[in-house]
Amino acid sequence: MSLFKKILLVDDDEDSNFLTKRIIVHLNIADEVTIVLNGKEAYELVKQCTEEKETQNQFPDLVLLDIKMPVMNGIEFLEVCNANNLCNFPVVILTSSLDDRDREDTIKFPNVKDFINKPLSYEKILDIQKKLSN
Amino acid sequence: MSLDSNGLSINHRDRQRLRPQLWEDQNLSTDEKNLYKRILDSIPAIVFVKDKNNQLLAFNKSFEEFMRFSREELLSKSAYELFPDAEKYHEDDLEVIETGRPKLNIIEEVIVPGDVVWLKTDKVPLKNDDNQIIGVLGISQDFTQQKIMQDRLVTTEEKLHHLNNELEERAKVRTKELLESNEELKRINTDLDNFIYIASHDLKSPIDNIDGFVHFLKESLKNKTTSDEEKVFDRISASVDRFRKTIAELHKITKAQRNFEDIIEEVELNEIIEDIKAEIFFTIQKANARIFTSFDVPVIKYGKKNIRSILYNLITNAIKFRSPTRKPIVKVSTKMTEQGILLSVKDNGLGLAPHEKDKLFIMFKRLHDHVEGTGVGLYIVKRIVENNGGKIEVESEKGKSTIFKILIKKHVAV
Repeated sequence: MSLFKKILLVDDDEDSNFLTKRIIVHLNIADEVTIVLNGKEAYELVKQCTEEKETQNQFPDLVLLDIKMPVMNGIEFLEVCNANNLCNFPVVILTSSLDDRDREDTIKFPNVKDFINKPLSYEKILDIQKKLSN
Repeated sequence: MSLDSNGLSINHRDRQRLRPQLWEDQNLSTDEKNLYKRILDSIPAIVFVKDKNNQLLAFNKSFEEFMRFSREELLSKSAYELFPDAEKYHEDDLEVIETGRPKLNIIEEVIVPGDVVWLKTDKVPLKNDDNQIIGVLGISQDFTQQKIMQDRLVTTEEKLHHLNNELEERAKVRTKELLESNEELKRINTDLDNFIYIASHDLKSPIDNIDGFVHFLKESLKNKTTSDEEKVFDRISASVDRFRKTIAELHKITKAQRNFEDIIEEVELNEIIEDIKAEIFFTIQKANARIFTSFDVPVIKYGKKNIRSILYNLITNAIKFRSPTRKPIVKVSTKMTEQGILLSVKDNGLGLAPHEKDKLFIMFKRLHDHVEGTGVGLYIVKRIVENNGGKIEVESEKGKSTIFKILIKKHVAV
């Protein structure tokens, strides 16, 4: 059995997405992985999931969010979700950034559960799952 | 004839009687007259007497010489014939005659036949026995040389003033240029830091991906690769690791840059050293190193993180670049000097050749290949020291020792 039903991966780096998805699939971390390339697409998706009751079951149970993205970046995505009370999904920041400020700027949102550096690994995912079940 | 407080009094009442026989006083003997005349002629100044009608009544030898006319010619001419500017002088005469007050230090240009000279003249009223003013007594000195000097002085002063202004103006322009260059340098520095920050950030993602792809390939090709191909994979991984480390160091620099605004506090140097010793305990043990301290100035005002970073880098460097033939000894000391507090870190390690010293503080410049490192430590140390208004120097003898000397601004001593 997978650890998550549906993971939403938000990242503009397609090479990184390829690798992250492969790890998720390879390690049977989630049943389904949806990939969007920026915060705006991600926001539209979670908004749509909330509005359409019949799609409730498809609501992501984990969002892996990058920070630096075009159109709408990770922090802007968190802000717009927060402003529209769309925070009923856990978010884990998955980034290459080594900057402490990026950590500080994202971890303050209540639904951001962790901040991890790429690449994703089984240990990191287990750690996330442990944190979420607590 | 007698002198009173207002000037020279003479016995004659009217011009006709005065002129031209001023000295033909019936009460004076010829000897006395000659004596007075000689006295008058011996005075080293131009002496003359004029009446209120601007007529010359009497004068001395200097006056004759000055005017370049004979005595007879002078007595036969009116002042109007003698001086082109006679009217101007006459105005002064009348003022003295009418007010009875002397007019002193009149400096004016006088045109005489064939020459223009400057005279300094005192004019005093001349009275008769009845105390009536009958004319003006003038005493003039040639003032031409003084005037030339005075004019020269004025011109020189003006020139000096002009030069001074010019100099001030140039200093202002130069100061402005310097301020602008300083601004420009600051901006370039900030740009450089931003560039390093952005570059380190932007390089991080692709290298993470390359790393991921290599792992992917390695797993996909498990048991299907030759040993040569395995070696290639290992080399790729090692290169990626080195790249990652460099990026992490670059990132550290931008982080250090932000730490330059570290809070200034009283820092106990022994405490910092103990802290560093604890952190690098195994390095010290492995190298069999000994660290000695001697702090004449035990407490300084400095950013705690910054002074720790400086000492950490210098001490670990001293151990890293130790001589293979002797146990490393590191001496850390402070002392007060005229310029400020001198913080020294001395080792007995590999030492540096003179040409190596210049390259020491340059980013990524590594002088010893056998030692692990990325070459940013000393760059960071230099940046911290200079950002705190200090100076760093290195003295070294190849194969013997190296001393890093850091001058900390005086006011930071406690």
